[in-house]
Amino acid sequence: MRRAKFLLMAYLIAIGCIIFATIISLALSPPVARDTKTFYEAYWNTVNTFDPVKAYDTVSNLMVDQSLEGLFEYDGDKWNFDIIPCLASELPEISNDGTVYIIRIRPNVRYSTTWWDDASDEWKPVEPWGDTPRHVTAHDFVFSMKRLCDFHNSSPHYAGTAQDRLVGATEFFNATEQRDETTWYYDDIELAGARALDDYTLRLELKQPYPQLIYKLMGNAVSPMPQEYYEFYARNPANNEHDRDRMKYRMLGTGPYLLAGYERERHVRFVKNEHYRGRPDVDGHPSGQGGTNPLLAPERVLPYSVEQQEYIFSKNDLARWFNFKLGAFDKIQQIPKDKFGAAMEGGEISPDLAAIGMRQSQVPWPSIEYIAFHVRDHPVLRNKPLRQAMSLAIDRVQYNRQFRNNEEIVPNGLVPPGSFTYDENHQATWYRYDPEEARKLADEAKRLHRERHGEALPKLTLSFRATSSATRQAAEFLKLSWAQIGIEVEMEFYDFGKWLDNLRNRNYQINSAGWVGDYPDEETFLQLFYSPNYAGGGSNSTGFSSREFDALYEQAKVMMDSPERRDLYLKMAAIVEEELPVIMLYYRTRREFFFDWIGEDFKPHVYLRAQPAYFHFDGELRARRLSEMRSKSSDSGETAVE
Amino acid sequence: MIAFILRRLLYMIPVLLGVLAITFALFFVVADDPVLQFAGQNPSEATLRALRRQYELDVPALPSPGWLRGEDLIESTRRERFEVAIAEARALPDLSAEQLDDIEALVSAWRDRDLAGQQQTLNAELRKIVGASSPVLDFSDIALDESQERDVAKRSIWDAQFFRVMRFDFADSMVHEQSIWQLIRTKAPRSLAVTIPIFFIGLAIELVFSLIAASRRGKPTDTIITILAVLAMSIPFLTYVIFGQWIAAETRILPVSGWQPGFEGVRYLVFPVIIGVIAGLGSAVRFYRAVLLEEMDRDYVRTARAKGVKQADVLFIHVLRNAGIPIVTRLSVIIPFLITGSLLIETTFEIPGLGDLMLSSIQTRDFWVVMPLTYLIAIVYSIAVLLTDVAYALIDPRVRVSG
Repeated sequence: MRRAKFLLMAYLIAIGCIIFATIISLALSPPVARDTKTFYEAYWNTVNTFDPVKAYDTVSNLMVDQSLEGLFEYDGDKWNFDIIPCLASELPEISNDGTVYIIRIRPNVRYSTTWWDDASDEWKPVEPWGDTPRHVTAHDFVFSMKRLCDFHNSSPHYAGTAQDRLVGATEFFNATEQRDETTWYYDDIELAGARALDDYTLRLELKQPYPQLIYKLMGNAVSPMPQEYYEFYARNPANNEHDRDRMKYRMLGTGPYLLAGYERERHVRFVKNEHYRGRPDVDGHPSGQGGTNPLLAPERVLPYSVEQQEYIFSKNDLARWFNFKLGAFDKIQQIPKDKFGAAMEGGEISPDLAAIGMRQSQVPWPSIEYIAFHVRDHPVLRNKPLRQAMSLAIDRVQYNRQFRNNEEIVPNGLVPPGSFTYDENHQATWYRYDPEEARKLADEAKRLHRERHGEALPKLTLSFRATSSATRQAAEFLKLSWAQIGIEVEMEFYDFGKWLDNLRNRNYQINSAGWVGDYPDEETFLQLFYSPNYAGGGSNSTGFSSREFDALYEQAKVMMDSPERRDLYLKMAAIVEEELPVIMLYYRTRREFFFDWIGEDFKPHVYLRAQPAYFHFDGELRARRLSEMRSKSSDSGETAVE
Repeated sequence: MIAFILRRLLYMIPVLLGVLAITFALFFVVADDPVLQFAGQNPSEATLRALRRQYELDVPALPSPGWLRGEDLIESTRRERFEVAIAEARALPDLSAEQLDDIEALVSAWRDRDLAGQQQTLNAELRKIVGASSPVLDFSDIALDESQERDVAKRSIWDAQFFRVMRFDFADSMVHEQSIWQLIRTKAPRSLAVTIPIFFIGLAIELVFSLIAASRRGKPTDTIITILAVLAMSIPFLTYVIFGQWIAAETRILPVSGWQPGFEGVRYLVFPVIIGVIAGLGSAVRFYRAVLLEEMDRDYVRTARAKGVKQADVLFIHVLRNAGIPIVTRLSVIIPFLITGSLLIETTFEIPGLGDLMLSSIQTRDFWVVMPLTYLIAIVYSIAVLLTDVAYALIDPRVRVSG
């Protein structure tokens, strides 16, 4: 019996000792010093893949951007949407009919010679070549495009880049579908639209002109991959068979950084690529051995100051914000909604945060948020005064203030800033807030409905793609806005997966939706209203069909940028703004929070790759600032460990 | 005893099959199409087809008599392709109401007919409606050749996600592209690194407080402990987390969240463990106090006291042992979760353990993880309950196991 008492006491003492030992060891462990040339940033999600043909989500793409390069790039000097050649030595030579692209590949661009092996946690030479320089050639792009069109790679980029566009893409896709998935070589199948005329000339042939192809050629999906590299590393050593998924955790870069560490749940690390040529728009070192192009002035050599990058995955908004405030991250993109008020005062960073060096910067992002009427399947919505009334009834300024922290831009038309034809002085008639006019139109809509259908206007249904309380509050705002003009709308909330399913199957009456522009060309938004895009769950989710719009779209979609094309874009936007298959809620912006040690003048770019290479990063200032923060904590009687 | 254990193991079979069947129904019959999450902003039918093939999702989930022979799978594949072609026809611009009606009539006419080998007939009928010049209207790919038919028939979600899971033959995770065993090997230690300290430290503190409260029954100490326990129970778990992270951020003593392997990682575990212990304290103290008080009213306690046994000995030696059964019952419910991890703690403190894996797999529709993990949790739980029953007999000789 006494044993029970003894055991209990021993147990309690042991627990006490363990707690005491932990406290002592933590107090004695030294603070971890930060490398002054390493940039830290946190993201809300992990990397799903480094395979460029598969990377689609924001974070995976961003990671791939650090190391791989495309044929063309945005101009990091001007920080706008101007396009410069990158792995191509000049902008493409396009045939008169717009279907053939001749692209010259930049000479002497050397692939990295080492790769980081996560299994052994060390650098290893890239096996097929060892120290022999391997330069980027046109054949590498052909191989990448074949990978893109391979059925078994199920690339999310295939539809937008190649399907029904590149000559032979569909045939190639279908041919690979018939083969076993372990068959990876393409020597026996031709992709007619992508050919290497010689080592440094790539020829792409399209079925019909596709002016937006240049944006696709800037993307990761067609970044070069040498066939012999793929052949070597896609082999599974366990059974010596091909395993295409082995590309998932591997990157062979030509860009300013190399992948140097990856743990799925924790972080990705990049280090400077010693063979990088110095800037996107210069040739490789003439010696062919790699390294900075000698013609480049030293002050223009990228990366300017960030030599390593550490991306930490931090899913929890609040924890990410707290860690950022502590200086654990140099920059973050999203902060918790309820912390926004504390972080910002009158559109500027709050003084106490500014005092510790925190800054913020906001840029427009070609991306829209709207409410879509499924006019094709729902006769009740084929009532123009109804759509007009519902649009005029929304106070978008108030909506933005109440639910978006005043972060977004109140829309004045269909086309968001960053597009060719955006005009801040434009004001679409039906995107105003005019409750009086809305009420009159609602009455007219009800009369029209009764006349056509012999019954009162029924209750409408609006679907949302989230179930959060923030979404419900915003929905309530819209419901009330419409109730005030006598239109009843019922709200339905779905989790994102179910909502996507409904979108695909056209299972909604009115839908709350968003569209992120894939490139700064309003064609990306106008395609949402081209009637053939309704089929097969395509991008036209309203079923809007206008012969005039379709004719203009077909005319514009094969034209390169010109005043004539911009004129067609304006006409198309005017049709949509008048017919209102969608009512706009806001244009999105991107706001990033950062510390002054990454450069006071930092401004995010929504498309530019490997942006930390352009930072004027001051690691010494960070060390000083963090030390000040620590001593401030110590002065207030707290112990700083880190 | 052995007969009892064997009988209980047999009872576990229908329970586990039931768990598996319900999970299967929830995820493969009711839920949405998982590949949409991987397919990008505007996926084409071709991309979805490729993704569905990759994840073995291109066959219907519901079984039917023809399922065993794979016939209905082939037919439904044809039917899906038919639907796609019809949807494309419906979406052609400028169709008149009559043409749309004719398309609907065509669909109803072919709704129950066998589509095998009928592509030419369908093509002809459709062209009659929409006109020969219309683009992209072709039923030719609704036909499957022999090798495709074989390929379709051999793939079945029931086989991959029910029978194979039942036999512990788990497919690799769709997101992680690793085997479940490998994922468990990597993640279970991280979960244990948080849950084991919470369990043992929590138990020690809970027992100490409940013993103090029980021994001072009705006195101010008891009242204060009871009030604090009720208060602690009433605060939602997330409030503790937010408060804990705020404290961490303000004091800079320890990291707010994160995880690191090795000794350096201990600092990341301190706050999750403290929060885990505090969050569980209220309900446990109240429970143990009630159990102890019930025992303290019994005759043997009065007898012990009458014999002059000291208060501490009464508590530690007599009461605690006899209160063992309810305490063990409560602990046995917790033990399986030591391995599976605490979902909330792991997600809020960003510890990539099994709880975090489960939640992220549900969010990303990675059913290849959810199914086996649910199955394994059910097994661990069933075994824990069985062991509890066995432990009763060991703790209290009065308990004899039976049917």
